Amino acid sequence: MPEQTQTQPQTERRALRLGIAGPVGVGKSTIIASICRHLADEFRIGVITNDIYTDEDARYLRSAGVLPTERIRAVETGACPHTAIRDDVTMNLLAIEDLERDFAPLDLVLVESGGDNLTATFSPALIDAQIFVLDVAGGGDVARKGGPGIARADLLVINKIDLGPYVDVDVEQMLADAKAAREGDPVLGVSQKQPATTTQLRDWVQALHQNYQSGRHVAIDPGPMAPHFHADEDGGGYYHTHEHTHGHADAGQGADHRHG
Amino acid sequence: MNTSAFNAFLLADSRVPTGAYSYSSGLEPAVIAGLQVDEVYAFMRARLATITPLECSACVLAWRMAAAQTAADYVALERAIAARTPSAAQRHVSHTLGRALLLLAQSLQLDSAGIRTLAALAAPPSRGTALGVLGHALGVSEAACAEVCCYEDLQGIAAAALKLLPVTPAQATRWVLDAGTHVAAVVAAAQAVQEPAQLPAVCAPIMEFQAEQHTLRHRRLFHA
Repeated sequence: MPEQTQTQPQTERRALRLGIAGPVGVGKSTIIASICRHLADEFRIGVITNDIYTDEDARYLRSAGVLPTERIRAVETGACPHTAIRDDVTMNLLAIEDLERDFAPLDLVLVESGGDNLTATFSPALIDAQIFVLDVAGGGDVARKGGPGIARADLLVINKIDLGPYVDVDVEQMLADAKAAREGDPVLGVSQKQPATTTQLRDWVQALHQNYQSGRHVAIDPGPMAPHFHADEDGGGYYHTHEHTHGHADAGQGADHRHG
Repeated sequence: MNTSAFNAFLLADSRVPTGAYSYSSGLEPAVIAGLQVDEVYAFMRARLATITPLECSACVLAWRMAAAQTAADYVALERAIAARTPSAAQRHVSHTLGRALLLLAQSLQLDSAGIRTLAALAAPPSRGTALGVLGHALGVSEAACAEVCCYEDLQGIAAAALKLLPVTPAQATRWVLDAGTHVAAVVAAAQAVQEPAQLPAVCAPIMEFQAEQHTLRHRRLFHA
């Protein structure tokens, strides 16, 4: 049992904290392993996993051999994965603090959320930027359905794009839907079987880190506000999010409502 | 200025961010060891008879020290608590929860000499100590703070029971209500403690053993 020390005020710029969220089974751990594999020589990396029932993700990452095992730590979420990354980030903050103290200095801390639902996003109190992960096997329509993570995470990854033909998903269409839902914010199709895509992911993280280091990166809160659907005459439509307040009463936090 | 009662509610509210969801007050290790649903109430009573009196007394002493604010007093208190907590796992849990409370206190930017003194110590405070100091800073009375200390432990068990065992939410709440009738005695005993040497030292060897075992588990919902 390691001795604990006190919280100390941060003076110099600390490690970039990057959250990886998304539903169960989309490949969040694989994405993290991929980032570590590509960047372990360049960045000093630590990982915090938030599992719902086990430290399975931490164990997977340790066994993947992408980082020294002691740099990968698990936080127990008491079956409240959403709470642990959003409403009460205390335990994750303490875990990050310990990791940063034990392996100082770190350049990058990756925080994996427990596999939750489409509304789970990280609080900006915990991380500086976040990736939301979907996969083609979860259904081609998921990107179109939207949600705060899909619409406003710093990056949306559509994972396992090589599986498209096997699960009857038109990958190009899904990527296009995702881009429309995000109003041009970055979307990346990734497959571990297509090295060019994991390289693109690496490039994105590198660019983010550079922006963070130079102070240009601004943390965005994807927030609980779901995107709105604007229907077209022909039955199509598009999702977008609003910064302003609507003139009508919203149905509640995270409620989807239809205009038009 | 908020009323003392209002701030006591705040301190007892699990929605206030202190990482409470990560802890089961020892229930998960007990359930894995075979505790049955009809034994949860007895488990609550056992906590009230063993673990809680120490935390509650520490909370009271820390609350009283918060006005005097000498670091040496807190160090002596922490040593006395550690000496009565033989399980390293339980000490670790208490320090983590104390750290979480202190983090909250600092984040709230409460103007309190006690919080500043605790934050300046080399090691984080125990849960009871941090709760007493935070309660004092919030203007919560000594007795109410001690009561919150007991209440949180019971509600922690109840909330964890809902996730671990086939229990209705009302049943779990009923247990908290019933166990609550024994809290006044725990609080009174805690308030009778005048110095760290008088802190109760009640052993709970099975819970201590279970707490140690839990640190080695891979499959667990709760940290402890």
